[in-house]
Amino acid sequence: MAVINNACKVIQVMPAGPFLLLQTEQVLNWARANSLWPLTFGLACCAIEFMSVGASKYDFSRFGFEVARASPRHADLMVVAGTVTEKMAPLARKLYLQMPDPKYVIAMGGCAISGGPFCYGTYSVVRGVDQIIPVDVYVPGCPPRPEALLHGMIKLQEKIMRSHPLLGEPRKIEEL
Amino acid sequence: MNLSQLKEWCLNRWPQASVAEGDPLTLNVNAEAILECALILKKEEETDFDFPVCHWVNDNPEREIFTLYYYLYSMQHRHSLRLGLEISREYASAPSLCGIWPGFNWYEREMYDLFGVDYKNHPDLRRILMPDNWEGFPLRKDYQDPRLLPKPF
Repeated sequence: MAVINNACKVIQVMPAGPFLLLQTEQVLNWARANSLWPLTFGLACCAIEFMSVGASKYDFSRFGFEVARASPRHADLMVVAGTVTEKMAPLARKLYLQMPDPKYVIAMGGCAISGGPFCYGTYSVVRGVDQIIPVDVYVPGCPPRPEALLHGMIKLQEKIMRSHPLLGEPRKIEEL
Repeated sequence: MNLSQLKEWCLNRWPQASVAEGDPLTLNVNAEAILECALILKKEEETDFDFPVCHWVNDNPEREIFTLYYYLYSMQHRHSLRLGLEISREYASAPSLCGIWPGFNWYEREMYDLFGVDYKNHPDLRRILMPDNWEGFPLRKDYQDPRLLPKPF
């Protein structure tokens, strides 16, 4: 990655260099946004909706999400589908760190966004998965309809298409 | 046996026992007698309680006690019984029934985890639901935790 960053700095000052980088970024973003393989990671009832989105009726393969992978090493996208408990939090974080860059996170449902129905009067629930890993897209609902998750996933694709992997700052893995 | 027969059987076997009405019947025992009593209930052919159904604890801070309930069922006779055991809240220790019904192993671990009941002679008494480094027993009525945000509404 350091080699690529240095090469980008050299190309950027060349005539028509920024243009070349922008075009390259477009290709890169297009490739990334259209092969986002999600991690099989269901924590509660939202996982049922997530499975529904993967199955034939809603079928996220149509948009390049293809298939949910059982290993974090094969996955680009973590859909946190369900309640993150204090016991699960270290494991969720470990799975996130095991995923290769570039990686994205969708917080699906009220529990993953803020603790949801477990926000008050509960001793064992983490109040939002964004306390342990960075989140790109929040999909509200309890649980969200499959269309809502699909909408969130497409929003993530749009977000990736707007990103600047070469010209901008490299994405930081926050040490939370 | 039906409920009244079972009650009669228990009162014949243990004349001083207190049997509370209900479905299932509750046979109240004390901590010294529970092991012997449980063994008899399992071994006697007339009762033959071979299946441990459920185990839970009731926290009663006013009377300073925990009440432990063990639910038993007989596959052969299709009758059920509940054992009730009151223990002091301060010392919170009870004999483990794992030696008689191994199926109570995880139930007792759960009750240790959430209420802090110390089961004597349990083969593997450690937390089962909460993280291993958790402090306190969250289902006790006097449990305090900064995570327990009060409801704003």
